[in-house]
Amino acid sequence: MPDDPVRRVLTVLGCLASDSGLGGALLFDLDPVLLGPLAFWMQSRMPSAKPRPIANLSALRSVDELWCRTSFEDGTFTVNPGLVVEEGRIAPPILLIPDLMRLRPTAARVAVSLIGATAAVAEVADHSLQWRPRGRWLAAVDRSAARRLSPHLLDRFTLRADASELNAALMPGSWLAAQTGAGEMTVALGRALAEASPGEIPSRLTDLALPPISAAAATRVISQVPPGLARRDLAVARVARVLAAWEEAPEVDARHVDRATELLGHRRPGQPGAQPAARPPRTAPPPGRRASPDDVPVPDSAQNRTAQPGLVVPAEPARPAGEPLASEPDATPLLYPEDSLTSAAELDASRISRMRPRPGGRRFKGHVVGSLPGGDASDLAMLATVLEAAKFQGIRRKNQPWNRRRRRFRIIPSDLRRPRYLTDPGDALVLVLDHSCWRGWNRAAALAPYLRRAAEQDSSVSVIEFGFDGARSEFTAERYRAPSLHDPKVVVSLSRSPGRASPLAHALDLALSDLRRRVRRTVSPQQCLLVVATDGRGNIPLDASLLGQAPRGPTGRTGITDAERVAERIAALPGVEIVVIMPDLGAYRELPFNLADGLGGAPVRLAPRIDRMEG
Amino acid sequence: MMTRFRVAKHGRSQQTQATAAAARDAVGSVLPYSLIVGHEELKRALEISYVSSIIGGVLVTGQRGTAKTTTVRAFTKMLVDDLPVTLPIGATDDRVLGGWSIDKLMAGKAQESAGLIEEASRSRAGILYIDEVNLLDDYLINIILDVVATGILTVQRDYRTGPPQKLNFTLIGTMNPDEGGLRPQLLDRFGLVASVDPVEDRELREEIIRTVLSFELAVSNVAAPEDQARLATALADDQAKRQSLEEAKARVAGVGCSQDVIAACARLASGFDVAGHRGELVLLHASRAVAAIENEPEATEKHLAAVARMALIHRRVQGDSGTIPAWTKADDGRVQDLIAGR
Repeated sequence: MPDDPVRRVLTVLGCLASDSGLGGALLFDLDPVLLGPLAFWMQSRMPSAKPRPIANLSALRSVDELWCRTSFEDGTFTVNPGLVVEEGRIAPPILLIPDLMRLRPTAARVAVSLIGATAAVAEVADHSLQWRPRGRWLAAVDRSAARRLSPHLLDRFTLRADASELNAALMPGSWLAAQTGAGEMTVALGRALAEASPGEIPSRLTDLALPPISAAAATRVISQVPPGLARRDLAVARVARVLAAWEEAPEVDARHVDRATELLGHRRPGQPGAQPAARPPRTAPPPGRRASPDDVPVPDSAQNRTAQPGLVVPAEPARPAGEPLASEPDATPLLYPEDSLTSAAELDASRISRMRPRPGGRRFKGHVVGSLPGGDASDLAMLATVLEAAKFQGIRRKNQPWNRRRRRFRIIPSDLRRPRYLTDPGDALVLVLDHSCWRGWNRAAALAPYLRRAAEQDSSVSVIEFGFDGARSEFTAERYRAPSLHDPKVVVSLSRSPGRASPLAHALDLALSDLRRRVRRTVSPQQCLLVVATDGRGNIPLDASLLGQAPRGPTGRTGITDAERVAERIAALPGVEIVVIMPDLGAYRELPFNLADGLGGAPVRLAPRIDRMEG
Repeated sequence: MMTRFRVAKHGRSQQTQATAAAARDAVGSVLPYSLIVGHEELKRALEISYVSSIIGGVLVTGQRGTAKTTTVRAFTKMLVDDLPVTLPIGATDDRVLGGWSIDKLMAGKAQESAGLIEEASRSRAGILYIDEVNLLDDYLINIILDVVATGILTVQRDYRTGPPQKLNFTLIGTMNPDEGGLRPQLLDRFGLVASVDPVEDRELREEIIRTVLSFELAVSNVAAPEDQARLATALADDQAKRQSLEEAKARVAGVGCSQDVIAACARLASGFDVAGHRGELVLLHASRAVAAIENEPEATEKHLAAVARMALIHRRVQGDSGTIPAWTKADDGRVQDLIAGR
């Protein structure tokens, strides 16, 4: 496959147009002005007797419009199927997501359930609809941000392409300057795309005779794609099948598979830079996070660490752009960021700016749990409104003789009801207290700024503690929630005597479940603060804690590894500020720093108390 | 100023024909159950739960791209040639429990609209399917699991005051554990948990590719004769499977269970520190269901061993993080020891 960026992107889109089973294409670093023309290019090669809409999901006022659209015109209130519902009256749509990072969580779940699916179900105005999704999803994303997206969502986009050079290839600077209006630009770009279309892409991309796949081709697919991702196996096979169909080949052979593999960015064994199929251990650190300005300054006592105040220091130097990591999987890492183990973002808590209003869009207000009087057409609880109006129809018709015969259903402003949203839980402090390591340290000074802040913000508090004398079980962490820091239990927790065992992984697992609950309900960002006070020496494996039993046999580093794995999941949650307070114990110094790296939190290291040092 | 509304009718009969055709197209595009590659534990759990609905449903856990939804839909298609009643994204409690038909209200008539729970109970497959159940709001999953456990639905809201209804359906939920878990109280309500792992075996991966692509050609009616023949065989196999499961369902009530097996159920629950009594009851009913499926008159220790992992894996959790601990070979050994009374 030639390196021409235009040819590559158009070939990817052509494959998507030819096989709806491919579902979606994700274009990295695409100039937003190109998305529309690319969609029109696809549409022009997908002729249909029925109209084929192109819908921009960023223009939605409400996610509900994906399923059903309500309108009010000339006194008529109508309910019609929404943008993604294919009920036969129109051709399967082309759905555009100009920035996948800004897709709302609910819309993201819709995308996950529909892209590449063989069947879909929706409820539209009392009608249950089922259909086979054949819509094509076209999304763009900034490459540097994509690793923060949920792997669940990314996985749906089986076609990927680097579109960073498309803009320059289609629109040289002087030519661009000559276009004065948006309409002119779109027309000119469309013409440029049509002229740049490779000859091997047919002018008609739908209703092709797709050939069968040979056994050798199927074997070839397996040898190219890393194991464990059936969706990618099928994507490569489907693209190979489309390429074979374009050249009217009688069957898909290994040659088509090789072209498909190269097109989708999977390197073939034997090629320069090809890597073994096994997944590598994590080598790249998570993005650094800025700590609270109230942090205690970090003494420079760690080996090989230059602890700058307020910043996490990466474990390794940044690598030059374009240079692969030493042990990456086969697929070009830039096209498949979810393959990096640091990409652990979750579907329901993807990094989306819920507070930033979009032009013509509606701010995410939270989950709907009921209704309240009031409301307007932009935020209406339909059933509650109709129920309210229904109560008075008899009276209204009685008092309006001219309406009795026509029997219209009349809704007046006082009938209107608006959704009641789940209350934002507000600010929260999650304290993870490892009591086993604080002999000789006074961590109160390190904790004080965070406790003070939580008190000022009236944060709810969740305390997870372990490793103390008198714990119910030395193999499990304990958790309780307090309405505020003034709760007497919190005071008790801050003055425990140290114990021996350290189920750190379990404590972080409890913290993760707590934070997930809050993040999913929180409307405003940056409302959760996680403070972990530990030496990082977790010596109880997570499974042992979950089972409430002593570990069976030697555990080695299992407790530490489990803790680091859970830490990665915490790091992926958006809007959580994380601080790790650690004692300077002299031995195993790297453990708490590794934990801080895994959490993406700011390390705060404490020197021992003067009396201990003198002792 | 009053605003006038009326519901516009858009050629309702035409819309019904179009939606029916779209629904048939959707069902037709689901892979036949007998063509699902691998996933033996999941398939067994679904079959057990169907044969003995008292077990209380199946929770399917697995990472992305492991064909969880595909398998559940294939199972339902095999049973009743239809998709399962599915909880839609963003469902609210009125849709789950039932309410009033908006269309009828707008026309001035009060007509009750059945909720999804009732629809599932009335459907031929008797299945309610929830994708990503761990992302569902707690209060919704509480409502559903309460009905699963008690078999009774009482709705008194929005001016509806109906009597309690007896409902019987199988709840099937899927979840990706990387996205979070369920609270232990909710986990316990699911009868069985089936874990689905990514397929890494080369031969199986090749088989998946050939199977899926062959099926797609076959349903598009442009396939080679061998693809059409393969599909016809698969549909015939599905029909045979359906018949055998219906027969098993009919005879499960007559499947016996010795005192030894009952005692082994209790030993297993105790040995794995299972809280409550639901665990041993599920072990018992699941063993009998397996015996019925294998057309045997009595549940034996062999049947019990076959269901132990699915019935116990999620009931061992202490505390409330919702993470399910891994099941190991050592746990398999303990099952054998406990069943044998060692």
